[in-house]
Amino acid sequence: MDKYILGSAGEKLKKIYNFRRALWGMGLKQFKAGYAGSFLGVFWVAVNPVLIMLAITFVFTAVFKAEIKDFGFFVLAGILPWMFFSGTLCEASPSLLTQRGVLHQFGLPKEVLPLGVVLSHFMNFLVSWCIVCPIFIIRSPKTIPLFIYLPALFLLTLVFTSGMAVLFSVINILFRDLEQLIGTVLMFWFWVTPVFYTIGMVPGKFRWVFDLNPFSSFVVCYQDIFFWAKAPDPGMLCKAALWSIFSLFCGMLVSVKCENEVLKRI
Amino acid sequence: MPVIEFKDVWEMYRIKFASPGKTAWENFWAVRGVSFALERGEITGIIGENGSGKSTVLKLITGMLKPDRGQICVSGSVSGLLELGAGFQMELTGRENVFLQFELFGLNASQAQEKFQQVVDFAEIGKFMDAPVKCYSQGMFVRLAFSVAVHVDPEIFVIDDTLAVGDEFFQKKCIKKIFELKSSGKTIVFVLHDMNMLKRICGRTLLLKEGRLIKDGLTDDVVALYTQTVGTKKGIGISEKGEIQLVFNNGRLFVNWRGRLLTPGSGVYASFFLTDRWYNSFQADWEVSVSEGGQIEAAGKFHQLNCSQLLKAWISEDNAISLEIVMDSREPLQIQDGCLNAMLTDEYSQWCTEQKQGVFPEIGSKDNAWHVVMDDDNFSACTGVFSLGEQVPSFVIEQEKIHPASGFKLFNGDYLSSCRVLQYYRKWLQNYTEDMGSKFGYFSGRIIINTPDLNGYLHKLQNGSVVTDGNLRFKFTQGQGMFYYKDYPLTKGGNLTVQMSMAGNVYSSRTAHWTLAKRNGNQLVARGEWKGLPVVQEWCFEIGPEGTIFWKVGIDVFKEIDIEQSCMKFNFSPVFDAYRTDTGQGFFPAEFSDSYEDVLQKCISSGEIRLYSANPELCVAAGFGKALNNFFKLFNTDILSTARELRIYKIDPEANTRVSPGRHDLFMGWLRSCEREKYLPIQSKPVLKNGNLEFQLDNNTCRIYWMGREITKGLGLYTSLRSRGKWHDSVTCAVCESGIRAGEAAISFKWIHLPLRQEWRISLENEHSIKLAIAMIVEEGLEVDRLQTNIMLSEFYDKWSSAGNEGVLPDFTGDIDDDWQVIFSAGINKSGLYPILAPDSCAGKAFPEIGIAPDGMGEEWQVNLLNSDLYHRGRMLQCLKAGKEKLSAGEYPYFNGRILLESSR
Repeated sequence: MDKYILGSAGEKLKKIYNFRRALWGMGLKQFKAGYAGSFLGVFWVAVNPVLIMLAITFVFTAVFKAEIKDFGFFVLAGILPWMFFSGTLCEASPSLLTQRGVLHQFGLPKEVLPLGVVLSHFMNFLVSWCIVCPIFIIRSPKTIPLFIYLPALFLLTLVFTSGMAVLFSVINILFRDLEQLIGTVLMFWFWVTPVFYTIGMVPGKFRWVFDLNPFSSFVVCYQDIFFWAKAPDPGMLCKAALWSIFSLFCGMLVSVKCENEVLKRI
Repeated sequence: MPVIEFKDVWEMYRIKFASPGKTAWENFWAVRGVSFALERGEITGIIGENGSGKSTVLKLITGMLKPDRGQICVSGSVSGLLELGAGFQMELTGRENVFLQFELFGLNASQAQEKFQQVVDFAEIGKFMDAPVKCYSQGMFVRLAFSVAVHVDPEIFVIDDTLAVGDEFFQKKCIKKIFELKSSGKTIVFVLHDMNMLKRICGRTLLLKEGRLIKDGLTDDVVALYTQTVGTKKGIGISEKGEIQLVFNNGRLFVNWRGRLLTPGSGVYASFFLTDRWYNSFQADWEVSVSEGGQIEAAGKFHQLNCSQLLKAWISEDNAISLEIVMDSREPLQIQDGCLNAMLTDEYSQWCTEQKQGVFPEIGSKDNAWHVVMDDDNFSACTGVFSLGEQVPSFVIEQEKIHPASGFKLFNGDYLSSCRVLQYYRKWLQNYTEDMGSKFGYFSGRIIINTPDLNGYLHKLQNGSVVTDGNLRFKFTQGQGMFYYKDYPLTKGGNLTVQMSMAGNVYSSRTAHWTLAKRNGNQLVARGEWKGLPVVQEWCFEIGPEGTIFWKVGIDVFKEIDIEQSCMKFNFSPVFDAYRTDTGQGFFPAEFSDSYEDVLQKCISSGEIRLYSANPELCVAAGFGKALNNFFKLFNTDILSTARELRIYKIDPEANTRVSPGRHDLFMGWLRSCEREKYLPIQSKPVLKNGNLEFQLDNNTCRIYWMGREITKGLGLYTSLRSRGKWHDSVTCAVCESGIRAGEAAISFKWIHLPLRQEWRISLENEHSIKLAIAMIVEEGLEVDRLQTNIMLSEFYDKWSSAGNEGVLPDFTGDIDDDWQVIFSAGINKSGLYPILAPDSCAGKAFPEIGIAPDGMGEEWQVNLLNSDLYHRGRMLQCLKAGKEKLSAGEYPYFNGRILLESSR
């Protein structure tokens, strides 16, 4: 059975690859549609994280007196990947329902829908880094050589998010309650992700929570590169890579396994 | 290798059934163990009732669903049209959507650009291409969606029954496109509900029922099975015996023979016309039961009409289906036209009736109408179709009893269904509806399949109603007689019928119900009765010596009844252009006018009339029994029926309309073919002769000759009387019988509509005096206001004199219709004052002076001299009595006196 599922998961990936043009088209279209007609246009991708960064910085420096120097920069380095991840999940999980019409025409694999969402958000993500990057470069020019790590890191983030997006979109079909729950889940996840604190600040007996949180490793890597201006911890990078593969594997496996049920329900 | 392969595919839906107060989840297997394989370049149709799993199969092919069990193998890109408008973004314009769709299918920009123009050209929605698709009509949607779906160049194309939304033009275009796809090696799967279209498009068809594939094969076979099984279960009944399987399915009766459906499409169904539209039996709501003996009994309710159709069908013999259809209505139904149509496969190529046979033309024209193949075979018992090959058995519909105004027609069906149609039609005459009661017969008869010897069978049927000597043939159908000579019809239109005015109504033999019997092979006896009348009409036709057909028409009366008039009507073919009787001959007018035109009116003396045509073979002689007081009339009918009509009237000498119970003969006669003679043997006329003077009776007209020349003209010597404002002349009376005994001619004139008869006695006293005595016998009370005895004389008479008065006769003036001009008038008893006419001096020699001398007549009579009107141009000597008078039954003197010629003064 497992062999069969694995085989069909591989076949699925092949099929998705066959429809890469459709996937690309959908991603691009949604990316464009997101900013069509708005005043700031594509700059919104940077404005939002910056505003959140400002809010968090205000709360944690003025109210809680955080001990991190340049706390704003620290938050900014972590909040961008998080916002990419959470934004994608938010939109991808109901995507099979909202865009189901598309499936009814050409035998498009259903994964194309959440993946299209991932793709458009990933474009946003890249653009937002492009806008925000100069701030970090100005703060510490040492970061520039570290950018060679970025493609790998971006790829891992993309793969991880894709897997999660597919998984959530499938779960959303099987358990419609997820739609109501997803906001809360993401908020909880946000709190356990070291975006506005470092793992070192977490008491030892709770450390496992952060070790188990797959997205911690990604955030830590980003913070290493942009905030600490040092090469990302190899351990963390490995962890991120493992999580990515696991996520993709999980997503595809569940998607293939539940394919029958899911198709019937949409 | 198949492009699409299903291996034991099962698909289940989990459905929540939420009845009030209780919800339950149930597994519903939409597709159950379906296996098939489709090859490249095949167009395959999928049919089935709603909910049979067609759409699910399509979704499985597109990959929109995955099988719960079994395997599906689809190789190649799939495009399709499953849900109308699915995949379109409502806010985007048509153009943007097209590109979006291209993208989704995986075309790159340059391919998309290239295809885009094709899509625009095909869809033909004009400037709406740049409007948001939410503004589109359904038709525009389907146009655009179909265009996109086919133009992305898929390997596999699936289409759910969405095309029906498009107009006819677009549908045709789509079908053309689909054939193009097929020929370029694409695989096409179609779900269709239009069986005719399916037959045109798909070579192979899958039939699904309740999720199971119950038939996979050639479209015709699958459709045949489907049409027989689709529909409400309570409206389906099946009966089987021998090689025949009969399936009744909600108003359609399907006939299968050796596992083959002979009646595709709508099968055998009834269709009747009421008030403003046709109602078909398959529109009714049917309930069927099949008895143990295999008899299908069905009742169909027409809800909008408040009436039902009851049908009984059973396989009565190995090769025959008995069929009975009855209408049942609580209110009187004014059905006038009804028919029973059998849609037959187009493998039937030939047809035959009792009379003729023929070949079906090709179903050529591509329109929706039926084309008549055979229509003129009225009142036949049956009609059959067959094919020369052995693929389909002969198929005959036979009516049990030949109903009035019923018969068969044959059609070529419309192009799409491409059927032969064998139609039984029947008309209900207006006065029948009331007698019908709550139930009345619609059809009763048989369908005979695979008659071993069809021609022999038809021949036998035909013989049942025919007497013939080989050349001359008489055929009886439903109160009508038809004469043929060597297959050439002598009669046409209404043919031979008998009409009777009974109890205030006119009854034609065509409206009676007839039973037919044949005796000794050469005698045909038909008895016809009318509902509610104590009268049975009996026709007896017999072939006699020398190929003469004798007939006798009589009535059996069971209860005293009034019969005012009886008349036997022949409508002869217009090829007959001349007639001859024993006293004269003439031609029918060559042209037909808007109304009937009198040609000849005659009493039957020796009782023979001949009709001649240009074809020497086609000449007939007909004779009538003299003893029955008949007289006949010849007409040219109107331009619509274009026939030579011969009517024989039966006149009762006592003018008594009351007919007592018992047997009464009406008509007797014969018909044979004869030769067209150059000189016709005209019977010698009654003639009296004395020296130069000669008197002749010629066809009711009395003429006077002097030295071999006629001195009378026109109407000759005649009487004329007026009763209730209408003139009755001896010249036009119905019956004229004459005889000469001992130098005295006795002539008897009789009128049809007047209880009156005149007895003339004429003798020539010498060369100069004709003695004339006319007595009038009145049979019952009669009112008259003018009695005349007239001599119409040649216009060569131009002078007159009368005891001292004399004058010149004026020329004829005025119009044709002007009153006759009185020139001189004298009372009767001033003897010697009678006018004497002298002839024109030029023409003098041959014309004698002539005068009229009444003798011993009442004072009220007077003698007149007149000029007739311009039309007759005759000089008139007249003896006249004017003044209203009521005559009771009895004998009255009418004229007594002499006609004096030359020097007798």
